[in-house]
Amino acid sequence: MEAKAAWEDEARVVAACREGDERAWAELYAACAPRVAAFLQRLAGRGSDVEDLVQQVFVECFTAIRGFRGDAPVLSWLFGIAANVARRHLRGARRRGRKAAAFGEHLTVVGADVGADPSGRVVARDTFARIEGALATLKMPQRIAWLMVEVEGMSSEEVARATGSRASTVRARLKVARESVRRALEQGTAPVATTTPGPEVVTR
Amino acid sequence: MKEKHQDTVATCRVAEAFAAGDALPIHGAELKDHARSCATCRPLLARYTAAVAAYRDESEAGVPRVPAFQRVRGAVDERGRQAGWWRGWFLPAGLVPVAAAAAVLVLLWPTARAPELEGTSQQTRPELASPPDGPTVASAGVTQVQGVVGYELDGDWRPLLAEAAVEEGAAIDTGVSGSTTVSEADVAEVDVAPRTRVRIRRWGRGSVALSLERGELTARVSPRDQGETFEIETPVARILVVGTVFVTSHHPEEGTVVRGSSGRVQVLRADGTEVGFVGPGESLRVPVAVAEPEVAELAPTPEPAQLTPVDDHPTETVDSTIVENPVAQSEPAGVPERERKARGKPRAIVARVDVGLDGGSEEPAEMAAEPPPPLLRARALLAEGDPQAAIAVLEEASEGAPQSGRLSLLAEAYRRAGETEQAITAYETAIDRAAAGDSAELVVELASLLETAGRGDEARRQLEAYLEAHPDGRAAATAHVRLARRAASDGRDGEALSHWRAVLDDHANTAHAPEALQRVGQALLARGDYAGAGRLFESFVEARSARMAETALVGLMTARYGAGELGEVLRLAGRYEERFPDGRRAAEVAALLERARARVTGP
Repeated sequence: MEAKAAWEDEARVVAACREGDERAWAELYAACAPRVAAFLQRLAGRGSDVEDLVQQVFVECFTAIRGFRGDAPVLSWLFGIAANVARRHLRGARRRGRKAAAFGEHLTVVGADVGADPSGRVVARDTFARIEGALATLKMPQRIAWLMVEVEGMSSEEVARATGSRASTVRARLKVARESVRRALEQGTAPVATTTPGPEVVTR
Repeated sequence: MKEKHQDTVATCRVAEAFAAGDALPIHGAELKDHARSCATCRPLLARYTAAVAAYRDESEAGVPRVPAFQRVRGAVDERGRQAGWWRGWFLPAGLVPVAAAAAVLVLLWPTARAPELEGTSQQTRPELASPPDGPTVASAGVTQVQGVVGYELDGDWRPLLAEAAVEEGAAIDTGVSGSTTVSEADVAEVDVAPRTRVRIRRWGRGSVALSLERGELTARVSPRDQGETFEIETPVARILVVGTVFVTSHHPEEGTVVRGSSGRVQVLRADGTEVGFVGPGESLRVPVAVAEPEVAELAPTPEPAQLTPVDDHPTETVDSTIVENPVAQSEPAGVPERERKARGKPRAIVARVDVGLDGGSEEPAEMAAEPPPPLLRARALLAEGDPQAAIAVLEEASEGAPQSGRLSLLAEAYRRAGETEQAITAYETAIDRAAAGDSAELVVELASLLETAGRGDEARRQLEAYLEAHPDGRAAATAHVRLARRAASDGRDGEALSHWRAVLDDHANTAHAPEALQRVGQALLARGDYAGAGRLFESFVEARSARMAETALVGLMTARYGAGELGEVLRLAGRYEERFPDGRRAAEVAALLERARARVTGP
């Protein structure tokens, strides 16, 4: 779960990548790309072209890896790059007036009672929608901090290093994000993801 | 389940970490169990942790397949071709002077650098910094920063922080009171004085090149092997080094001055013609417009504390620095007895300010013979214990539009005279008139006075406002410490702890860090989190500061003792004795060792 658990032989592979060993590049890509893709999808939303974003992240990575000193897990470094790539992508999408398409378009949020459908799947989707809704109200750095710590298992110090922030700033962001998620979970009326239009309770 | 379920909000480390914005100390099934059974966490975390796990699982579904590696590989090649096109286009620039070539490199970097790698600058390096077949480029690190220091790369400015990596092509700009040291083991250590702008053109084991645009650098260079170079370029000179200690300063009107402390330095003009060598105790000046360099022996200098702030006497402060140099220790002639008394015992530190804005004499003896300006007189009077006389001097000098430097000294004089309210007013005015980066110490002093005057809430507001505006400011660590102490005395332990943590996280190189480490570690120990305390202390055991390392080592021993790892305690005690034979906490270590031995041998 943790960022450092990319694979056992990380140091050797990263060292070979720095030397320009293409097999090592492929190994690093195979080990890390799926995690990076999942992170990007959570961050940029399902409407985004995650494939393109993953490519951008690894182009940045292989261009700059010669200078990566290996004093942090490579995955946390990649998440730092991915955060910037996603940020640029969302900025661009916003400029093109497609913010909703870029993030959270699957959130057509309606008022519904979670208890109305007892199946586990619906509950999970309800939870997912609540958290997505809460994340959507956050500022990008807060969202990044929450995803990196709560979902990717990074420490606040690792997040600070990956995002160029101070650890205390990361903690402050995480605090806000947690509170927002917690509030969303405690709300009596659940914002459930659905394809059926209904009374909107959370919008972006 | 090891957790004590009677935890309270104040003592449950999971709940506390959650509330503080920290990563939770336990995960998975352990966290689930804890969240269910801990009275504190149940209402706070039970649903939250389950929901996060559900979110993680749900969001894993539907992640698209990643593109094939070959597609990514092709895109990397394409990026390389684009960079190569620019590189090829600029190659003829090799025919133009070195400075122009350096400028071209600087222009090229943005194309090779991973764009907008915000926050990864310490880990990534521009492609051009290290040619594909060349050796790995060494990285210069910032070992200390005083005051506010700017760091520019590709036109993007940000504050320079201690322990940051400095990239090739970057510029460092110190303000009026900022300074920093850039170094790398086995290469060099370079002190950047206040009012200096320097660009790192190259930094590697085999080749270091710095461009000094203004100000002063002190370089301590490791011995060079054959073919290895260390050079500093100014607009009018190039200085080549073979393992030495020297100072270079440059002023646009006065030219470049090189002073040697040990070893020898070769000095060339910008056009490559040789000017000469500078040895220990010698200085050499390459003027902007004068053909012949001036070589002279180093003249003695007063203590840095005697240098007059720029607002009073600019000729004394421009490009000044000190270097250790046993060559000359005599007192400059003409220094008034009162100042000499105030100065105390002279140190073996010399190297005189070379540049005068008025174009006058560079002889320190002549400069010192001038009547001392009000600030200097006032300082001497304060040192003599006569604050009332200092107040008189400063009040007279501050008529009209008083400057911040005089006002702050006036405030200090009022304080020493016991006139607290007057001192507060003077500090407030001084802060208003000071440049943003120069008000740091004044704010701290003001807060201290407000506390003394029983206006603790105002003191707190001042410090919080300062931290809000200058989280990395020169006095930020001190402000956190003051706030932490006040919070602790008011019983706001959580708030106190967060200030101590901020000192540890963001100002670990300051003198306050050992106390912060002690306080945070003690809090962990007090709640029985020996593993957490152990991790915390262990991370500072190799700290550069001896006091920090000593605090960490003793803390680690205590944590190990608490965890019942008695063998570790014995091992760490041996390490302590080895590293700190006359350590200040030796008695404490001995007592701990005795207790550990007693537990090992049993009753």
